[in-house]
Amino acid sequence: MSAESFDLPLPPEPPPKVSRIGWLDWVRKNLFNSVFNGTLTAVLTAGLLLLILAVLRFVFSPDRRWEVMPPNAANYVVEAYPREDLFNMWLSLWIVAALAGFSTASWGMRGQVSVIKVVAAVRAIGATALVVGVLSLWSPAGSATQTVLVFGGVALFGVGVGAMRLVREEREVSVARVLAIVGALLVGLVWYMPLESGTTWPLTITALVVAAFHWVGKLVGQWLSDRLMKRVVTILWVLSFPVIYLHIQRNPSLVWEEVTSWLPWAGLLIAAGPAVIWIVSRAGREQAAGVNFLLGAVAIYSWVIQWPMAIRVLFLLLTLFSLATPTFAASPRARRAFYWTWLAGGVCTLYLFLAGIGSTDLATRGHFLGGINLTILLAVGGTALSFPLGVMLALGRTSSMPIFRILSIVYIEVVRGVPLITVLFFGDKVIPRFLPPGLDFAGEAKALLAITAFSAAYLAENVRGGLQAVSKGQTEASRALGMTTAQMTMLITLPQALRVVIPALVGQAIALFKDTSLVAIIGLADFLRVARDIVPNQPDSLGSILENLLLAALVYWIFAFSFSRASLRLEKRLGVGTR
Amino acid sequence: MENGAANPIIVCENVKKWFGDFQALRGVTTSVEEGEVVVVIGPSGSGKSTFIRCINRLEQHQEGRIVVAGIELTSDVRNIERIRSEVGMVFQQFNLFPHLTVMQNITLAQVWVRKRSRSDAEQRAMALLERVGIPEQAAKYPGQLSGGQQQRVAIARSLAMDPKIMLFDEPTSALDPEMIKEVLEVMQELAGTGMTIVAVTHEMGFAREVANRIVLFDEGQIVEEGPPSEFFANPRHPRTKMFLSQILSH
Ligand SMILES: Nc1ncnc2c1ncn2[C@@H]1O[C@H](COP(=O)(O)OP(=O)(O)O)[C@@H](O)[C@H]1O
Ligand SMILES: [Mg+2]
Repeated sequence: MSAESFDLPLPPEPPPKVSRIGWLDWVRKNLFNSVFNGTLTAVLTAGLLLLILAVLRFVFSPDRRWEVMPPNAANYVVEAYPREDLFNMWLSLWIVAALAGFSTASWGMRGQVSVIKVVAAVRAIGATALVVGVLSLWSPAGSATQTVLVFGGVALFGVGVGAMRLVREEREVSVARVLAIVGALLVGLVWYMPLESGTTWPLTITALVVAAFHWVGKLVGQWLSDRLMKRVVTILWVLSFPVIYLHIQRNPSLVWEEVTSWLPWAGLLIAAGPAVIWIVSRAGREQAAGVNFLLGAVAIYSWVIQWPMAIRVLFLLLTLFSLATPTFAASPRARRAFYWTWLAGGVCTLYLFLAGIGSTDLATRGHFLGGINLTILLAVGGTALSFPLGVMLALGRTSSMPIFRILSIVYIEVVRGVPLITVLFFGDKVIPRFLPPGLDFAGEAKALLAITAFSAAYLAENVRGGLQAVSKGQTEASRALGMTTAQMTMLITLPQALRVVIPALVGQAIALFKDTSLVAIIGLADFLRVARDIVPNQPDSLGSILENLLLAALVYWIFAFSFSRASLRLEKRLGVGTR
Repeated sequence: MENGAANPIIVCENVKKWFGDFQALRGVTTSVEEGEVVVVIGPSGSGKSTFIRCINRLEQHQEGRIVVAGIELTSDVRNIERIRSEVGMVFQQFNLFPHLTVMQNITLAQVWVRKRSRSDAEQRAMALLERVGIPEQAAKYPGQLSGGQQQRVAIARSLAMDPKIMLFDEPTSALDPEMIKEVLEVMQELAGTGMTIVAVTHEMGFAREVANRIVLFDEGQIVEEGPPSEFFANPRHPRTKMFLSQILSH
C-alpha cells in the first residue's frame, strides 16, 4: 500500500485496442457459426417473420376499428367517474405532473446524454417504422397509416443517418432537453388525434405543468442543498396521496358552503392548541385543572348544542391533549414533540372530515372509480400500503417474541395458501358483516384492502429472505455499539435486507399490477374490464373486442416494462450487489 | 485482587458458560485494572472469544459474576445498551456496515445512542479518522477499502462512543501481513493514552511490548497469567511452555 514508487524497469502500457467488428461479422460469428446454428437461425427468423406478418395483417386489416379508441379515452381512463366532476381528475393529474416535473430537477435528470445516442435512437425508430410499414403492405388493404409509416420511416432514417455523419462523438445534450422535445411531440400528437372533446387542453396543460415545475425545481434546487431537496421531494410525494385521494374520492354530498362555515374555526382551534399546551405545562396544578375543566365543559357543551362534528371532535381531542400535557410535555424537548403531535393530529382529523369520513354515501353510491385510474390506484395503493404491513410481518416472523412470531406465521401462511380471488370475495362479502348494519365501504376500498392484505403476506416472505441474508456480524457490531433492537432493525438490518430484495419486490409489484385485473370479479371496472367488456359494448364501438384486448396488452406491457427499467436504475444507484 | 487490585474496572469471578452440553468457560476468575492492557492468548477453541464476548454481554454467562465499570451483568440488568456503549469492541471480520459510508459508520451510533448532534458527531469522526490515519477515506464505502483500512475504521467507530474499555477479538487475524502493522500501531497508540484494553491476539511482538499482563487460556480456563517479562522468560505451567514453544518456533 505504499504510495512512493521506485523507478522499476517496466512502465505502464495502454490497454490493447479492441477492433470493432462490423455487424455482418457479428452475424456470421454468432448466428451462422455452425450448420446447426445456421439452420436454427434461418428457421427462427422465418417463424418470427411470419408471426410479425400475421400481427400486421391483423392490425392493418380494414375490418379493424381502431377509430373507436380515441373517442373512448375517458372510458379507458376513468370509466364511470361522473363526467361533471372530471375536473377533480385533471387536478389530480396536474398535481402528479407538477411533482414529476419538480422531482426531475433533483433526480438524475440533470444528466447529459451523448448526441450520438439520441441520433442512433432516431435512426432506429425510423428503421423500425419503415420495416413495419413495408411489411404491412402485404396485408389486404392499404391505409393512410401505412403511407405515414413508410414515408415517415424513410425520412427519420435519412435524418438519422445524415446526422450521424455530422455530429462529433463527444457532443452531449441534457436529458431534460431531449425529454422536452419528446414531450412536445406527444402534445402535438394529442392535438392531431380525434380525442373526446375537452381533453386536448387539459392534456396540454399537463405537459406545460411538467415543464414549468421542472424549472421551479431547478430554481428551488439552487437555494436548497441536495439532501434537503430530496427530503422535500419525498415529503411532497407522500403528501400528494392524501391530497389526490381527497380530490377523487371526495364525498360528493359534501357541501362546500357548509364546510367553509366551520373550516376557519377548526383551523383556529388547531392553531390555538400549542398555546393551551404551553399554558398547561407552565401552570400550577390548580390552574391546569381549571383549564382542563373549562375545555371539558366546552367539549361536552359542543355536543349538546350540536356544533359541526369536526369542531366537536377537535375540542374533545384538545381536552385529551391538555389532560396528557403534564405526562408528555415535561421537558422543553418533549413539549416541542407534543406540539407537533397535536398539529399533525389536528390536521389529520380535519382531513378525514373533508374526505367524508362517516358518510354513508360512499356505500350507497356504488362504484365510481374505474379504468386505468382504478388499476393504478389499486396497484400503487396496494404496493404502498402492503409495504409497511409486509415489513412488519417479516419482522414479526423473525422476532424473538413468540406472540408476534406466531401471529405473523399464521397470517402469512393462511393468506399465502388462498387465491387472490378468495381474498377479494372475502373482503367484498365478509367485511360488511363486521360493520354496523347499513354501513359499508366503497367497493374500491374493499378491493384495496383485500389486495393489500394479500400482497403483504408475499412481501413479508421476500423481506424475511433479505433479513436472513444480513450477516450475524452486523447485529453483533450494532449491539456492541449500544444500539437498541429497534435502532438496529431500522438502521442496520432492514436497510440491508431491503436492498437485497429490491428485484424481488419489483417483481412482486409488477405481478400485483397485473393481478388488479381480478377485481372485475367483485364488480369493479378496472382497465382490463373496460377494454374487454365496457368499451366493446358501447353503441358506437360494438364488436371491437380484439382491438381493445390488444390495446390492453400493450398498456399493461408499457407500465410493467417501464417499471422494471426504473427498478434497474434504482438497483444501480443503490449499488445492489457491489456494496 | 491477586495483584492488589486498586481500581478494577472488570471483575470476573468463577465465570461459567455452556453452549448446550459443551462447557466453553469452566470457571474464569480474573480482574482488569483501569488503564491496564491485557493480552489473551491460547489455542483455538479454548474460549478466548467467548470470554471477552461475555464482558459486553454479546454472550451471557450462566454462573459466576461479571462486574463491568461497577455494574454487575445479570439477566435483569436494565439498559444493557448503556453498558455496551461503554465497552468498545473490535471484531476479527471488522463488521463495518456495508450500506453506509465510512463517515456514516462512525457517526451513526454517536447520533442515535449518544444523542449527539450530527455536526458534533462528524467533527469527532473526522478527528478519529485523522488519528487512525485515513481522513481521506471518509466518503468511501467499506467495500472500497483495504482490510487494514477497514479495521482502522472499525476501531474509530468504537472509539467514537468514548468507551472506558476496548475489547479486541483477533483484530489482525483476517489481514494480510503488510496490513497487520498499521492496525497494531493504532492499538499501541491507544494503549499509550491510558485506555483499558483486553485483546485476543497472537501478535507476540505486540504482547511483549504493549501488554501489562498476558493471560493464557486453555479448555475454558486460565492456565497462567503474569507480566510479559515473566510470562515469556520463565513460564511455570508445562501447558504454557508447550504453547509458547509452538507459537514462537517460527
Ligand atoms: N455459538 C456457539 N454455539 C456452540 N458452540 C460454540 C459457540 N461459540 C463458541 N462455541 C464453542 O465454544 C468453544 C470456544 O469457542 P471460542 O471462544 O470461540 O474459542 P476461541 O476464540 O478461543 O478460538 C469452541 O469449542 C466453540 O466451538
Ligand atoms: Mg476466537
